[in-house]
Amino acid sequence: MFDKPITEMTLEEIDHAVEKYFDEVDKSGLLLDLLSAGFQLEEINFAYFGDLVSEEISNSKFRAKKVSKFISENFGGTDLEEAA
Amino acid sequence: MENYEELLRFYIVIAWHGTSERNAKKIIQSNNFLISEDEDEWLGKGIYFIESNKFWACRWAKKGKHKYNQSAAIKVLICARSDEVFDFQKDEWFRLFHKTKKELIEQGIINEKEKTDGHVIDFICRLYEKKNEKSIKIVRNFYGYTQENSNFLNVQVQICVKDPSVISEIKGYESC
Repeated sequence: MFDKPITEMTLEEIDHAVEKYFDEVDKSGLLLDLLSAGFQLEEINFAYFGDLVSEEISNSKFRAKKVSKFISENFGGTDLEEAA
Repeated sequence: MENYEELLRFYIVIAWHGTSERNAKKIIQSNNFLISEDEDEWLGKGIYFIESNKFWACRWAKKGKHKYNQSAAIKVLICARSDEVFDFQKDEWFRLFHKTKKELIEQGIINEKEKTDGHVIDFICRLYEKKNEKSIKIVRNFYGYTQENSNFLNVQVQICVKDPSVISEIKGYESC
């Protein structure tokens, strides 16, 4: 998304870059980035991540610890545990 | 003024942080601010200041979330490179924020809530850091209050410092 400095891009280029990012995004990386950015579990629509997140996790009865463990096991990284 | 373009590469301001007198003393003694990680911080995680305006910093300390009885404002000097500032005054950053939030909501990735704005900002900061191997150190935003019988807005410039290294000097504190 940031191939050149943002202030050197036109607004159309910014729109295009954002759309391209979401079209091509790796969902596991996106989930990691959202959680690391501080998004809470209830703010994330787990249905979007489909196969990445099991039905058990995407169910409204999930618990933070369970999600934390799942993400830690599947993606690794300590910041995820903190975020979850 | 031949080097004015060089000057534009930097963002240098005096800024004020509203808090309690007790916290102000602690911060001055330790010469260190603690980064706020509250979930509802609207510019995301960071240390919050008001650009060049003690009044609004005091107002926040007295009337904001904590409502301190004995409040104070800490004066600091902030120095950063302009390209390290996520500046809502600039159309490009403004557009990037709104387009990213729009896509996150329209593609069904996040649920729409007002308080997610800070998280969207931190999400963009994270992507920026991964791509550029350098970070956004400041988020700068404007907020205006209308006045009765006037066309003019009373504006405050909010600064969220993401990287404390841009606080080049803590000058002291003044009671509110």
